[in-house]
Amino acid sequence: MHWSLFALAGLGLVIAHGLKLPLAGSRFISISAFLTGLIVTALAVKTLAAANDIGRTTDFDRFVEAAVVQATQDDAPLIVFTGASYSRNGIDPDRLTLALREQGFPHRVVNLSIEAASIPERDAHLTQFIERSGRVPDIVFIEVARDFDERAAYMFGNSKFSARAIEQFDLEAAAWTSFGILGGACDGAKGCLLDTAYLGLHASLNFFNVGLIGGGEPASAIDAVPAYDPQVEARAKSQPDLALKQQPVSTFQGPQWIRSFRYQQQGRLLSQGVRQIAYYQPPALDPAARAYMDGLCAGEFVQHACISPNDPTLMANLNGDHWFDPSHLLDSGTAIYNAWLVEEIIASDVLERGA
Amino acid sequence: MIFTDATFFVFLTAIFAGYWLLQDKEERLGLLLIGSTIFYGWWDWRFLGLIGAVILISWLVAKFVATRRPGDFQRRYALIAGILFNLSVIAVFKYFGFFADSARAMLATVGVDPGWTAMNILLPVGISFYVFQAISYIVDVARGDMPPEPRLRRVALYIAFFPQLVAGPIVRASSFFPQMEREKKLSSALFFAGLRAFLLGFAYKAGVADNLAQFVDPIYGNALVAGDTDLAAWSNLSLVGGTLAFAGLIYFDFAGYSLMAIGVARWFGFYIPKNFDYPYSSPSIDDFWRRWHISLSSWLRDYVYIPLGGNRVSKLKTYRNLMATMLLGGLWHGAAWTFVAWGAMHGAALVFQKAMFRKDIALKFGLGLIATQLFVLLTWVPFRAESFSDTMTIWAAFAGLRDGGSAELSVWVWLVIPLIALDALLGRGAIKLLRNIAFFRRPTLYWGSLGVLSGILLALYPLDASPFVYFQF
Repeated sequence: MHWSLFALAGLGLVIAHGLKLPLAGSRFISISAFLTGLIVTALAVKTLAAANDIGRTTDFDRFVEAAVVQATQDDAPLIVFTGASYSRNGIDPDRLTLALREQGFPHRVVNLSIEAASIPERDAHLTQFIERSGRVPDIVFIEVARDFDERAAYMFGNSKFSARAIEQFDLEAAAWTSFGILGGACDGAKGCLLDTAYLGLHASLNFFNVGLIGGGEPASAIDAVPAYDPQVEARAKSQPDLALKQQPVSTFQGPQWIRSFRYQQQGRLLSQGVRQIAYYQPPALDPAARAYMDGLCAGEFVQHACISPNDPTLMANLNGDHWFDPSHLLDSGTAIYNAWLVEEIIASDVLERGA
Repeated sequence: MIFTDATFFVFLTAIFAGYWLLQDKEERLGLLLIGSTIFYGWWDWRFLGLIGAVILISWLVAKFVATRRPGDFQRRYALIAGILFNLSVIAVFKYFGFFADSARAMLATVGVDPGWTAMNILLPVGISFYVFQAISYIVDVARGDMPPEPRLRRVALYIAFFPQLVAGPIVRASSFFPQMEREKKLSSALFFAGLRAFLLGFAYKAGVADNLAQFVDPIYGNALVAGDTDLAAWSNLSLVGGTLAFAGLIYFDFAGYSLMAIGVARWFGFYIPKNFDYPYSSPSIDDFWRRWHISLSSWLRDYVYIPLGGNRVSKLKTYRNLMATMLLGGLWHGAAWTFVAWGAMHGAALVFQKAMFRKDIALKFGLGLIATQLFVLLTWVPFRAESFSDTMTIWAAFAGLRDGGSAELSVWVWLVIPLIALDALLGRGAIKLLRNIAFFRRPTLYWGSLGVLSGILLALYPLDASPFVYFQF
């Protein structure tokens, strides 16, 4: 809630009361005048919102606020994990921080993950975190999953026309997503058409600030809510021994659009002062999903630290009632995975002891 | 489907295009009836049976009444039966639970457990509005204000006309039926008149009312969820601010809906009279009721107050008539004693004003305005509060007789006062001068302003639009 809401409402009332029957005129001039008024207002509202740090509040913003609180507790070097629901259920920052410190590393882990987070949405909130906390992470761990690489507009499978869906498709995110769709990162011809249509609509709603002032609030008013969402009860029965199954692995690169995105993201983060960029994937029961990450680790991410969960020991330990559903861990599974992950992080040599 | 919903715009565009593409009047009216059925059935198809029964019975009763001469006992009994049927529809669907609960509570005070549990009856949307329209039709025919309508579909369209079906304004039969017979032509004057009313209504509802909910709900709780208030936590000033926000919300919400209904009806060539006339600028309580929910207050005046004798009887009986009318008006708003109390307070204020002052506006303007609006504000408390206990707590906050909590509402809530004042100034005077200047009708300025207004309304549009407050009545 902000004074700008009342200012705009007042201005709206003045204009709405003032409108009367227009005199006849050129259709071209009328349309041009309308579009000019609309676009100038859209830009003015954007400027007003940016100047007052107003945005459509989503759960992701709340997670960022919680991460900011954690990150500003002390000046320990930060490890940021950013991803979708797999990480929201599978990365417990407190557990990881504690485990690292027990091993002599002073780092603090924060989790910036939300279900169905599109790649540009994660990136935007990582930037938001850096700006809000005033701290540059020592290491950024970026979640990778085939679902998101192969469907640029993955968000629309989860939510449409919500504040979160509209907020994330600014011009830059819309451009990246279009790039992905044009490159075939969508589900068949019908799926590509639908994603394109939804993208156009959401990008327009974003450009014209739908709900930005009415539903938005200043960043300072956003509540802090931790991202980590431990689950204790399974919602789907897991298939026995699926965790133990393996699929042949081949070395490969991700689709062109996501490679380009990751490339520019790496450059930007490194220029901001991030020391290391690493990639990871939380465990999944589907052997193909794990094999995908193995392939990327051996291919596209060969120059980076890359932690694939396709480790027989880990998967054997997770072969039981540790699954919320085939792609998400219960808290007991997270405990197993996080203990393993700490060892992998240390083994990967990305950490600087006493950094 | 609500007027601020994207679905409604699709529906409206389809009906509007079809309506004006058709050339035949009967076909157009048929399309409106089909559209109204879809619109109402969209809420819950089960509601269609009830409104269908109301239409059929009202049509039959009016036909029968018209065949009998005035003074005929059959005519009188048929009229009473028709009115009672319509009232019983509201009584069962809206008030049954309320009366059952009240009776049970009363019996419990004398130690009797009646043993029944109240049925949870689904409240059909807009029932209070369309039933009053049905009664208006029967009574207008019986009074000879209009002939009975031989075609059932005409009566059906009058009662179910979608722009004002679910939240009014309540349209009189004698005003609506002649409009159905008139030949209609789509003109730019008609289109822009409708657009103007619709946009102003949209600005009221989506631009203001929905955004005020974020000040009201934290204090009063969600109107649809019982027992979710925690008044103790809030400071006195916040409780006053929350009430002020509610005063703004209910006005902009309901006046906004009414304006949109007027605008939509206009697009189909129907004229619906205004329902609000800047009531928060009223200097007296009877002036307030001439400006607030005009279609209901005039309905109650014509169909309750005047038949009871109005003010052509003794002073005491006039006061009784006023109180009875306002109590009914209060109960009409909702099945709860807090609404009855709200009606009683307004009735008492009208009686007080009638008893104390010879002229309508005996108070000096400034003092009258402040006293009236303060009274109106205070009476919104029982109207919105969940219980009398909450009402007393909030009134105590107004009087400073309560130790407030530490929670504070955003200070911006106070901007609702200049917003209401601005609206009244624009509506009642200031802008009228500007509107008469041709410069403001120039296409460039008009369309440019429309673009700016669209940009503003999009930014203010709430992504989780609240249902209109009056839908629950």
